[in-house]
Amino acid sequence: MGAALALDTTQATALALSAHIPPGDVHPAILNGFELAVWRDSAGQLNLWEDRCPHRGMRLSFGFVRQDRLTCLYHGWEFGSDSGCKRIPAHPDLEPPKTLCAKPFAVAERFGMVVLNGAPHDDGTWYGVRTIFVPRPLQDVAIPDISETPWRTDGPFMLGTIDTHQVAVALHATSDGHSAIHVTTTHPDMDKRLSLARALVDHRQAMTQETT
Amino acid sequence: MIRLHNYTLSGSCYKVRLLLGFLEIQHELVAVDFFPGQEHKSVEFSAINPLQQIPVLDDGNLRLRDAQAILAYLARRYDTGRTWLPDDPARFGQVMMWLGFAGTELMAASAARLHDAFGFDLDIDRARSDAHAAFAVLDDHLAERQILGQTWLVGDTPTIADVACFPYVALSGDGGIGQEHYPNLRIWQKAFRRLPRFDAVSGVPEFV
Ligand SMILES: N[C@@H](CCC(=O)N[C@@H](CS)C(=O)NCC(=O)O)C(=O)O
Ligand code: FES
Repeated sequence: MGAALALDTTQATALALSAHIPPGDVHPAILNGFELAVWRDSAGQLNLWEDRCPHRGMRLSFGFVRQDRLTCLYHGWEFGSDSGCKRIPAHPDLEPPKTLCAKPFAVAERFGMVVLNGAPHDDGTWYGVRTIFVPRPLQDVAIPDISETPWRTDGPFMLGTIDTHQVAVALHATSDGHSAIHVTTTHPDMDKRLSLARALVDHRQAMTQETT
Repeated sequence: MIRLHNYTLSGSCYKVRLLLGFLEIQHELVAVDFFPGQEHKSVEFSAINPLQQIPVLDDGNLRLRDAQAILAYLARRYDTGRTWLPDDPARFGQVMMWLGFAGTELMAASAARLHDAFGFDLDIDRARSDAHAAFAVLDDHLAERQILGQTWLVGDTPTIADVACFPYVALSGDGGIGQEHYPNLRIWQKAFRRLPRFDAVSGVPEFV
């Protein structure tokens, strides 16, 4: 399934909120049916790989992180942040050949989101608000009405304003006709972020009802 | 000695085993051959629980059925720190609310798993879509909790609400229910699996 699909690596695409990938965690993300594993080592370094172990194809997002390595849950192969296999528990004395590696993709963080093919940038402090998933193809997704000013486009992002603070929205197609809507903000007020998150639940509700 | 009428692969029994572990309560497991033996439907077991369900807990002369009731009892009786079932009325109410949810709406995920893993005859599409609806409710709640810098369903420590909701969320893959759409739910499960004395089970790995 995943292997037959190709990933469009020419475009920058936001895949998750930075806040949803804490240090030492691995999580799945799906872009146009292509399965990805997003993980941070314990020092916070971000990695984006195809979600398939080169050994027997197990999803790497089911695995776990220790220090700077991602371990596959199935037979315990350990991969370093250069994506190379560092250790095979069944052959502890073997130095794994360089050809054994996970498939990495370029990744950077922007506006508090994890971005495939993104350009690194210092944006100051952004807070995660919410990722919602709606049962609609990308072209039918409505942008949530949460900005006080007209949206301005910046690469894969739409930037708006709330109380003189910034809000960012990005979309991506996941699988089976679903799409993800990611929202972050520079708004320092927790209650404001809570009410934004609630507005997004309403938005998902509306988009789901109109579909069914 | 506390005795738990138990089947290892049962998510409802897993709820009780988890709390017995967290509270370090000595106990004995009485194996019930739920599958394939259907021992819970036997005449002998019906005398233990007329609802023909597991888990059932015996503590001296007290016999309790229903995982949620058992969790509440164990927490009140044995949690000297009184954190797993808080005394504060508002928090107590919130914990009871999520216990109710764990025993009803969330059981759709159990139904899907009974269908896929144990061959039960039931409406699988309905079970999966009900389970997704329940997962969305939980994910929405946890999203708000995480914005507030909180990890757990209620208050600032794990409670029996987390214990009651964890098993059928964590085992949902066995019922063909993916969790790609629930980032907040995934973060909560990882935190739960990192608790001291967390007990892994087939389908819920120890390492996180
Ligand atoms: N309300 C009970 C339900 C427990 C339950 O569904 N147990 C399953 C095993 S995981 C069972 O015994 N099912 C048999 C049946 O309901 O006929 C509880 O929460 O403990
Ligand atoms: S499939 Fe990953 S280690 Fe075997």
